[in-house]
Amino acid sequence: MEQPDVRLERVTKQFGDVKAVDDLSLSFDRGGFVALLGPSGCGKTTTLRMIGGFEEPTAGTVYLGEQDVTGLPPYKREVNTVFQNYALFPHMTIFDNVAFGIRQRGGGSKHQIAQQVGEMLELVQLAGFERRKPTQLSGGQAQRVALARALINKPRVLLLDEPLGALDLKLRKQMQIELKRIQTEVNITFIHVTHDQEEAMTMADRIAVMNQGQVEQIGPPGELYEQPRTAFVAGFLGVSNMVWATVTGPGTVQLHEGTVARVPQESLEGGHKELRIGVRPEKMRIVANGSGDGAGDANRLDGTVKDVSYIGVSTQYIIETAAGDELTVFAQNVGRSAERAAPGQKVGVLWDPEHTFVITDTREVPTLEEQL
Amino acid sequence: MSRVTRLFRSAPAYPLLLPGMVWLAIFFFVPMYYLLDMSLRTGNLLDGFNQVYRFANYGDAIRENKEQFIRSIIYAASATALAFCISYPLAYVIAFRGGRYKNFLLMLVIAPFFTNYLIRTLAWETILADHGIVTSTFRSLGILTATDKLGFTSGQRLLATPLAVVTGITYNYLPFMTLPLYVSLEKIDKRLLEAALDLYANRPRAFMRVTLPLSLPGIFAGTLLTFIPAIGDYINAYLLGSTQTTMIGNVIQSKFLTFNDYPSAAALSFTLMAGIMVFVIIYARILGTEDLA
Repeated sequence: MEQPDVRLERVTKQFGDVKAVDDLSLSFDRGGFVALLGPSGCGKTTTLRMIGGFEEPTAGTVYLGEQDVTGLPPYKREVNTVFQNYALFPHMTIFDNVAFGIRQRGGGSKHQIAQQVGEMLELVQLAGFERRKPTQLSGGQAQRVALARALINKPRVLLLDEPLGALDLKLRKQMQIELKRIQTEVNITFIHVTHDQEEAMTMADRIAVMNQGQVEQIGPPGELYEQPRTAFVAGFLGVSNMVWATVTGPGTVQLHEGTVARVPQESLEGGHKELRIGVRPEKMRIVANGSGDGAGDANRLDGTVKDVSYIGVSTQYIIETAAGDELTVFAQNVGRSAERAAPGQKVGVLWDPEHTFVITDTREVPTLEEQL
Repeated sequence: MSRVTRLFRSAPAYPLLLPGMVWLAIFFFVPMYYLLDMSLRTGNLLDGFNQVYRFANYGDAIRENKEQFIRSIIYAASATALAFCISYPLAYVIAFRGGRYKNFLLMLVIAPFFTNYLIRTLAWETILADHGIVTSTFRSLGILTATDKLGFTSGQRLLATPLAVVTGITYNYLPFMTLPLYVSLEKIDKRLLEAALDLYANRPRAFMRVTLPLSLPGIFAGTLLTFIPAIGDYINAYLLGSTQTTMIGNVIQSKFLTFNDYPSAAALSFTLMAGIMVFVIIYARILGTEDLA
């Protein structure tokens, strides 16, 4: 197996009394696109800055490939950064901005530099912008220049610190796809810090969800979404329905108001007795009360419709169960609108056992404020 | 609607310029005209000065005071250079490392201004006095022997030497250098330096390629704000210097107030002003500050 490109070994960073990063070990594979995702203050930016060399860890080691780079200044690390708000040099032209890195390393003749800068600007679709100044660029263009300025150095790893934060929604979506394309083209390891779960899911092939200086869970976006291991991950990535349950046998649990539900057997292997089971809202479906008992081996929970909101492609229902838990259900609007359940109506909620995930930690789900 | 009101409506900035324009007209252009007019007259205070358009006044004034002109340029340039060398690190530290003490440190920079200009300069007379602690220390360390040799001082003294005058000017105009430098350094986004370090520039190179060029507007403003008043200064040369350190300001002052030779004083003033103007234009071209602002 190949050596990882970047490896953090038991890294801690303390600012005064605050542990921004707490005994973190993490490795990044060559050529991957990893997102560090978490709320502000979770330590994701500090982690990035320690890889870049802008912060020194209080304890622990940072490796680039085989090399221990802890304590090396940024200019001695084969890492480049795309800064939040880009940090383009305002007194230089786009050409000089992009050429900065290779010039500092004393790379090549005038002609070679010009050629490389040209290639890079072409990669980010800004050919012909050489003579402009950064103030003459739009946000999206500045973003591309920042990318070109970093990538021209062919770094081992590219660090992106909230790179799309300053762009409007439409441009952000466009740049997400663009970034992914560029990453595939240059085949460099990208480490991307963001608090936007959708951005992370769109671009990254692995996401590390961080909270309070530690990694909660790391894996491909699908895995994190389908099988979150902690309440934090379940709550931070999308909407989750979670209810407390007691394990009653292999692959079965009893919800607190009495309903028995089946869950994937292997998910109960931890030996916990009290736990939470969760289901994503779009994996649930609503049936009229008293019907649908014959829906195969689906789990069923009864409740009352509290709220219905029509949001175009789907309808969002809030269902209150007998135990007082609120479930969110997204139903695709494939049928006619007359078929929608109305508030106050008694309904059944069905879902497949294999769509159930199990949360064994006891922490609360992050509130909206924590997510921001 | 008249043309004028329409202009004012469409460009609301113009009326705001009015007080400044009136000020400039009354206290600059009108006196300038009288100065120019006076510089071409001949005569004396008792019989009056007659307008004869004697342009030779300029030639005479410059010829007679060439030495003082050159000395003024050298002193002002030295003081500006010294002030720059002191101010840049000072402004840099306050801007980049000042943290929450920034404002306090800035206040310390301008604190000497709370004292009267004359008093401050007189204080330097005491500091540099022949039997003072500074002079005796310098003397016993042999520093004065070295500066005597270089012509900065003479006769094992500090007072009444070029060094004393330049020191006084440097001290008195230091805040004019520090403040613009601070403003331009403070404005620099610290992430630009991180970006430079990230792009393989070590700290000295990051300074040369990013910090220094971005502080050029401050360097430009600071050097001009120091150099221009310094070149016309006469208090420092008067209090801390000797007849060997007379600057052009002293000549103008004595011609106006002691000898009542208004035409030649006016010609000197005008020459000095024109010289400074030409210098500023060339300087602006070299630094290319239009680009930066």
